[in-house]
Amino acid sequence: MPGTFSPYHRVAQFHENEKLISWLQDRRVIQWLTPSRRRTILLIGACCAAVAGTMSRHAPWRDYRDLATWFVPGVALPILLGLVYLLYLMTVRFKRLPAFIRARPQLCIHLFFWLLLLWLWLAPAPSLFGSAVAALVAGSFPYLIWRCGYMVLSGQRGKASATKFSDHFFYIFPMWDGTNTPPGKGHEYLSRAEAQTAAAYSRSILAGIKLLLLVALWKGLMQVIGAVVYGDPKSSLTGLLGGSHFDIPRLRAIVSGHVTASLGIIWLSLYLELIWEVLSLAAKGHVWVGVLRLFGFHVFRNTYKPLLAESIVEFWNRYYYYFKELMMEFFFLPTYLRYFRAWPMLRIVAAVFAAAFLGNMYYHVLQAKNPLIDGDAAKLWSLLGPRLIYCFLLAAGIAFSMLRQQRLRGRAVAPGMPKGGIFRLRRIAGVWTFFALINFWNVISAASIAARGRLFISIFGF
Amino acid sequence: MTGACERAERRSERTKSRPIRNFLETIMEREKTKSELINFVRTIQRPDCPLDDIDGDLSLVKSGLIDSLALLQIISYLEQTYGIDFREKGVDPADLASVNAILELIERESGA
Repeated sequence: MPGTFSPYHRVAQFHENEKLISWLQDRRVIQWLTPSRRRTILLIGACCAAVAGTMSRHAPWRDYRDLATWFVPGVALPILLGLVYLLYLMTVRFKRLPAFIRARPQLCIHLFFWLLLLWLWLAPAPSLFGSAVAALVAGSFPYLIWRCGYMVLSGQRGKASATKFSDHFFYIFPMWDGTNTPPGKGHEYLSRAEAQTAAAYSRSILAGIKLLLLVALWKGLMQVIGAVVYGDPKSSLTGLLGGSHFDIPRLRAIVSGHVTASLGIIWLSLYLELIWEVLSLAAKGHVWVGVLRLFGFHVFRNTYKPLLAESIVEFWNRYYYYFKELMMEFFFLPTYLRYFRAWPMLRIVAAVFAAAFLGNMYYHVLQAKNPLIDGDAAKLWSLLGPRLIYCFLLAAGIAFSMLRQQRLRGRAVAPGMPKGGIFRLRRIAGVWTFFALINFWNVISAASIAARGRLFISIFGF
Repeated sequence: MTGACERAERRSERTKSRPIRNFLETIMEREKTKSELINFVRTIQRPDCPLDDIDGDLSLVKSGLIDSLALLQIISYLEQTYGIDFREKGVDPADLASVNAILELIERESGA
């Protein structure tokens, strides 16, 4: 209720405190950091990130005493920048592109990547140096391809013709880092969320600080869980506890067969792994989004209370927001808009499978860049084989949940309809169980599909 | 002569009033589309978040009135009712953010 904020609410929602906002917006530094100045800082950061990112992707770069290791990124980086600039030109002149590229621009970008890979696999190496440069260019693609994808998408939507290269460069080589998934998506989304006034910027900064404080909190909690639950030697608290802990094994150790555990412990480990992964992803995502907010882009959080989700589809939306958005924009919507338009249910199911199954698998195939560049199919299969089952179960769960949610939509809630309390807890428990169980097929381990399958069946008492 | 003058005057009056009539027709058409759209949004709103008044600028997803999945139903509705084809340009979620944004999309795509 307004006016009756609890002390907890006042502390937790400090970023919405009007007095604090008005104090902050009067600071000289906030007045000086106009949107254009903030973007300039981000551009300088992007130049550094482009150099550092290319160096770090070049496997032998750590051998910095050898001058030869500096030459490969030195040649690969201008090539990458040239490719990104070509894609920018494609974006701003989208209407003038040939019809087949206009119809499927994303497919063309990915086709280019696969042709480069094919050349790496089949062509006789021109020289060791040439191969290393080509491998570094190809190895950088999975990081850049989705970011450039967002840039081209804005051109496809007719919203990029007046943009400059610098409007895109800062998120293609972001100084706020991230995985291959771009937090903050691209130009359109970031521009919409950009603070234009000192007051809006102050709000964004406070929201960013809140996320960075949450990072410290979640990391601290992970230290506690690591020490108390797992007895993790890496946790700084393990030593303080003098070796006393619950000794619950990590899920990957159970799946790999390194430890044997009772049925109850396996189930406990499944749920704890889910909590651990949520905390870990939230801590990482809050850093990316926190930095974005400090620079005035008041974008959505990457992870927002997924453990309170009451449906599978809600969990997917809250767990890794920018990955879900990536799947939505590049796989779900194109499928939904093109195919099965006359069959509403099939249309949704096909689009969900395109995103959560095909798109998800494809994203992770690109992520496994070393076996991909080496053309090592066996290694790729051992890494991603079990994930096929994970993605299939995830897609089936989301499709089911989505259709169910759609049926419920538009109905008025009857006064006696179960909404909260025990019914809510039951729904949350169902979501936890689903994601904890499918995680069994996602956890990193050398265990084969068959070995995982046997263990998976055994946890149901068979 | 007088009759010819009167006819010319009447024609001139009609010509003058045509832009006004067109303007009024556009407004009425827009209001009709808006009320149909609001009625449709009511059929897909979240069961736990009913709103009495749906303002044209209200952010549909952020206000909690609908969830992001309901946007798919809005897409189907726009395809079927207004014949909008999203296949080439794709969908920009910002175009579906509010009733007014959807109205602008309809007008833009109908005029295209």
